[in-house]
Amino acid sequence: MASKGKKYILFKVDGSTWAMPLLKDSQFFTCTEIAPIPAVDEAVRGLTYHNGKIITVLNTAKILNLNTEEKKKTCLLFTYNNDNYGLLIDEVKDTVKATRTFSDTKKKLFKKYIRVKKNKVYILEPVLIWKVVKIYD
Amino acid sequence: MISQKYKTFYLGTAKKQLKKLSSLLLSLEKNPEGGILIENIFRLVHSMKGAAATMAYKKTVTFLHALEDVVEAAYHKQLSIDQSTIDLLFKTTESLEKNLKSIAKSNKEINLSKETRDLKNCCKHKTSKQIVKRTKSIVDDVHLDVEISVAPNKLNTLQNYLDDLLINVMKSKALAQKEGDAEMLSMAVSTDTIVNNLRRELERLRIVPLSDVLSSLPYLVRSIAKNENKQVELNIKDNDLSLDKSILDQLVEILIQLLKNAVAHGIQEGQRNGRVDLEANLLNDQMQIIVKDNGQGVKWQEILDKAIKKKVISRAKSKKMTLAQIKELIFMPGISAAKASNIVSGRGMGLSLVKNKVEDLDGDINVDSSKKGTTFTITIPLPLSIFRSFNFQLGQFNMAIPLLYVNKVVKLKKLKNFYNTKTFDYKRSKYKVISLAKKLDMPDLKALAKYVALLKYKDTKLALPVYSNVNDREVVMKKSPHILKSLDYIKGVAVASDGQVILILDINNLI
Repeated sequence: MASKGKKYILFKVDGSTWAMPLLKDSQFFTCTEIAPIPAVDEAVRGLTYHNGKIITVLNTAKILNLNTEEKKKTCLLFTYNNDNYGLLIDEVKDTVKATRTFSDTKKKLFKKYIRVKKNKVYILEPVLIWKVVKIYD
Repeated sequence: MISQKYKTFYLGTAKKQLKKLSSLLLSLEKNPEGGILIENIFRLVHSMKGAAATMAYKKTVTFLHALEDVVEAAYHKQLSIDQSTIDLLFKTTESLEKNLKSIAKSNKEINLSKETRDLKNCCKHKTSKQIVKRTKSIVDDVHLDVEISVAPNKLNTLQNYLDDLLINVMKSKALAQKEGDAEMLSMAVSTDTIVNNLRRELERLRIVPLSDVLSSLPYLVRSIAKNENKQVELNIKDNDLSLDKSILDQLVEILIQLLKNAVAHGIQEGQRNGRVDLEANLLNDQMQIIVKDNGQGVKWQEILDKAIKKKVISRAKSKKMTLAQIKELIFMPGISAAKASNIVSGRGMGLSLVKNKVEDLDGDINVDSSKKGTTFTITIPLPLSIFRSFNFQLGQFNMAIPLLYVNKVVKLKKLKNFYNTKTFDYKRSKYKVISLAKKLDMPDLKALAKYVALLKYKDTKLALPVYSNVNDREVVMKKSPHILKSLDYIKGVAVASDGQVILILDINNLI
């Protein structure tokens, strides 16, 4: 499916590069302290405070089904349904513009990808995160 | 382009003016001889015309000019205010509303020529003589109220920055105290006062009187009743209460649905004394809103039958249901008290949406019904802002309750197991134990309670076992994230001076 010049933020989790569509409120920040929440999905790390906002921090490795030990402090902020969410990531990469997205039919989730310097970079679409993290049931 | 730049402002003002016009017309319907009322309507229409002219909405100006003529003729007693005139005036508000919607959507006015003609014809047919030159006494007194509209998201951004500033000030106050620097402490305290005042002023900007929003509802009820061929009077008692605009906007959607239901299903056809009462009260830290009609009441057996038919419940289960459980059915999708659906209500979705919206506000809705009518009672918590909290840890979780509920903290002589304890005795008084560890299914904590906080909440004496060290701090309440919605024992989230996020417990749901 073609999408004209859409911007993506690139970031690294467990050695692989991922992309997230660049949204109005997208930004990176360092989580100082995360307060855990009882009885929630294990992919929810807890709540943190940044620039006057309460942010629900998500464990990206859990969302992507990676078994790495989570020690990350950098968060990629995005908003969904007027709530603020932060994805814990390893490393901030560039922002790129892609004219096309492709689909990998072999994958069950996060099938879409863009090509960055001939490499496949899978897209972490916020709307698909809720298929893994049960918040909006 | 000037017009484009000010379109949002124009629309905001015009919507308010339209609401005011509807409210004035309702009063005029009750008191057609009201000279002051007519004068006020004239002033308002004149202001609306002026604003439309500034925006170069020519059709709107022509239409409002014709409306002005009608109102002026009424003012000079050249035109009598009978029911047909009132209906025509109400129709103009409908046309103006459609027009505003069109302007908002496409920046185009609708065709108002027929409506303008109707107004002109009304003047021609009903006035004894042609309208002469505008009377100076009305026009000269016309003045425009100047208001500034600010989008709520801009206020949110401002509040977020202010919260950050407030938390930094709290931090510097704590640091000055720690260092024992009296001068720095005095400066921090004074800055704290200023920032607190600023925050309160900002909060005040968001607070609007209930009457501002509820004033449009009588017109809505009148219009639904007219469509249903019923006579219904809406009585509003707002007790001069005010509420955060964003909450009020959501609340008004809920009320509109309940009023539609009350008029369409509650009040019977041919009922002469159709009446709906809407009352807002303040109860502790909650606002209670009651919508009560004197209609036919809900036939619970019909609701039950429908739920069985729609396979929401089995017949066997229906026989064991309590009245409270049956009442809950009315809020389920697809179950409606109406026999037939119409454009207003009766598709069985209204009340389920109402319940969802109330729950979005962390509120609660209950229904009571008899042959004398139906009463819906909504309770919504009022937002706390800055307060001192009693803080403790429960395992890895940072928790707190507002300090105002804590009467005393008792340090236990030895660690005590409260996991299955129902009461705690202290100085000849019995306290009901709130077992958070049990609620959160944390049996590992059962033998480790160090303190007991004695609370007083709504005349109930409560004992909260605490398993960690405790402290009291000033915290800033923040918007609760969606993730906490499913946890009924958590009221919301607050931030302390060091940026620590704290979960604030809802005592009401822990009892």
